[in-house]
Amino acid sequence: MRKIYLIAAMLLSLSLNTQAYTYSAAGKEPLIDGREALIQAANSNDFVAASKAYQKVEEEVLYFKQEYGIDLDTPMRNALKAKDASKVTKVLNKIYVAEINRRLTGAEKNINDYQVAKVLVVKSKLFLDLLTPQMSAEQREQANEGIQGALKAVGNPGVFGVGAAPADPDTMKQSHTKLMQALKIFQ
Amino acid sequence: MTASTSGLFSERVPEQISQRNSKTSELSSVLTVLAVALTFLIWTIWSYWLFQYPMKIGHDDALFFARGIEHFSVVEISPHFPGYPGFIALASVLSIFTTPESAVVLTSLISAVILPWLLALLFMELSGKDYTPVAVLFLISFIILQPLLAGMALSGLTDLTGLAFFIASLIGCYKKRNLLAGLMLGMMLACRPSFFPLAIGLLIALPLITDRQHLLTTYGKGLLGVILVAVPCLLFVLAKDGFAYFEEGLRFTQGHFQIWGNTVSSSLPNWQQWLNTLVTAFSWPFIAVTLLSLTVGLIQCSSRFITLIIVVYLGWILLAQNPDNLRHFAPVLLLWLSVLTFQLQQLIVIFKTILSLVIATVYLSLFTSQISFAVLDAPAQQATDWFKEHSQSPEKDFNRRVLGTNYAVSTLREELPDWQIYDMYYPSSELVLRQQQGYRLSGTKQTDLQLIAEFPGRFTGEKKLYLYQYAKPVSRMTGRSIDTP
Repeated sequence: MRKIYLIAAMLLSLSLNTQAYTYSAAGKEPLIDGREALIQAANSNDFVAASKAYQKVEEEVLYFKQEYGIDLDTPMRNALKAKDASKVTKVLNKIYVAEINRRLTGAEKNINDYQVAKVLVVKSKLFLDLLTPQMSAEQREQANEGIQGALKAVGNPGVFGVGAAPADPDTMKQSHTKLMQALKIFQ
Repeated sequence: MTASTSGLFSERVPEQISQRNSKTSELSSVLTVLAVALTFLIWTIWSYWLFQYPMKIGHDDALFFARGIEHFSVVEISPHFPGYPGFIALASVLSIFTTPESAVVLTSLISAVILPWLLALLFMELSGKDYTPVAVLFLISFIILQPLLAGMALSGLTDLTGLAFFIASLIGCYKKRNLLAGLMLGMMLACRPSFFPLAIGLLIALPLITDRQHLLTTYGKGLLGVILVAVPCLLFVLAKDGFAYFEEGLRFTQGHFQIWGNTVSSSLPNWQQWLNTLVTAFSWPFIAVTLLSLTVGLIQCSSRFITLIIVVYLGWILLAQNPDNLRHFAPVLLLWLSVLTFQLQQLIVIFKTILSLVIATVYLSLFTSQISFAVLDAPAQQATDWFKEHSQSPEKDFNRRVLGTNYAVSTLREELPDWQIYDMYYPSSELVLRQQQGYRLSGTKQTDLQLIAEFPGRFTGEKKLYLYQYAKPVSRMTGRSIDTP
């Protein structure tokens, strides 16, 4: 029954076209929703609301500390304590870089599982799209080349082998490195 | 004498009748030739005029289609969900001769110029053999004079291609070529899946033109036709994206319902917003005539089939389509014009001539008042060109190349790689623009920003865009502008 609802919802969505929209908007991503709430609150000088917004994404940020040893929680708390809106944005950018890195690392590890690898790379691009406007044209180009390379490296499953393209772990690694180099400006 | 006179008379009368018949027949032939020639002339001028416009993309969806020609992956929004494989296939064929961007626009343009003839064929099927070339002339004039079609023709979007296949499917239904009708319906869904309410309308209305004993076979053959198109399309999509396609489908669906789909600004019910949109675009008498004509169409046996499909689709758009996009009304408008011409044809000569001329005049006035005849690019493309031109100027303002927009975000990013393009969907973009005195491209008038340029829409339904610049932030302490780094 749930499947039927889902199919009906998908069909409905085909026709709900709007003008002022972005298909590439991330969808339900706590870090993206949280970023917006945090930046808005911090720039309105409402650091109570900013702290509340941070609490909603805290778990995601602590995950980096626990799994990768990257502590972004302390800098964010310090920025909130200092009521420094521009620092809040800077730490958020770092969180996004860590998120992109995490997903691309996952894609590298799961390179032989097309479904998982592709979704991880595509999701990392959603975060990248929010950082690229802040980059220079050259950095942006390098980042785009990196993400496109990663997408290509995932390969293609084909149907019953027809149109299949094998995954390329080396290209994936190189593309990942290239992208992370372009994102160094946020570190 | 009497006899001879009477004899003469009796010989003369058939001669006169025959002469009169011959004259009437000659006049009728001349009228037919004139009507056919005039129809072709009007259509040729209209098509020539459309082909004068630049084949450039002004809408992100069209850009995604062009990307889909080069590298198809719905997961990578190339194009967006659900993939439109039929449209991509047609545009790919045209891309042999031109760039993918132009191929996409060309596909919608070719669909537009074919459409009047398809509707004429539909009208002929609707009328049986009882139609005149003058009626076809009026129908083609009504179609090309209504101001919505031209904008859709140059949009590079799938509406007109999908509609062309749907009309072909209707003609197939009338001709009892059910497999062909199914194939055409399948192509419609492969080009524009959001026309599925039209397919549902067809399924509901089909018994009106099918014998009861053949109904099952008709549905069966039609379904087979749809499956013959759907299966290769699904295999194609899966070959490119695998089951990640369904994951993207979920994200897209969720996005439509919970995030970007809910952008209708008014609190009025959807049908009321549609009413306002239609009155603005076409006027109250137009709405009244349409409703009256559709009611008569439902009552009359011969036109009930098409009218029922129109009514089902009309109900759908009134309930669930965004009134900001007038192009969603196109299937109703264009299909209805064949029904209207059919109804006019049944009136006595004097009435049908006067009414047809009145309608043609109304459409002509709408056409001339709502269309800019200057051969311009789409508004987003005009903005792109403006930035390219002015970026070269030594003005200090352009040292900061920061732009925020709700419209054609991806197109602008592609066309202006040196610019920092912010998506105004995210509220944080507004803050950046304010801090950096960036530019803002908007579809609505802003009173608090400095207007820099305007990019007019070319056709009905194409929004005018305004370019603004944010002023320098002012210090609360000194009241002076703050120079930001």
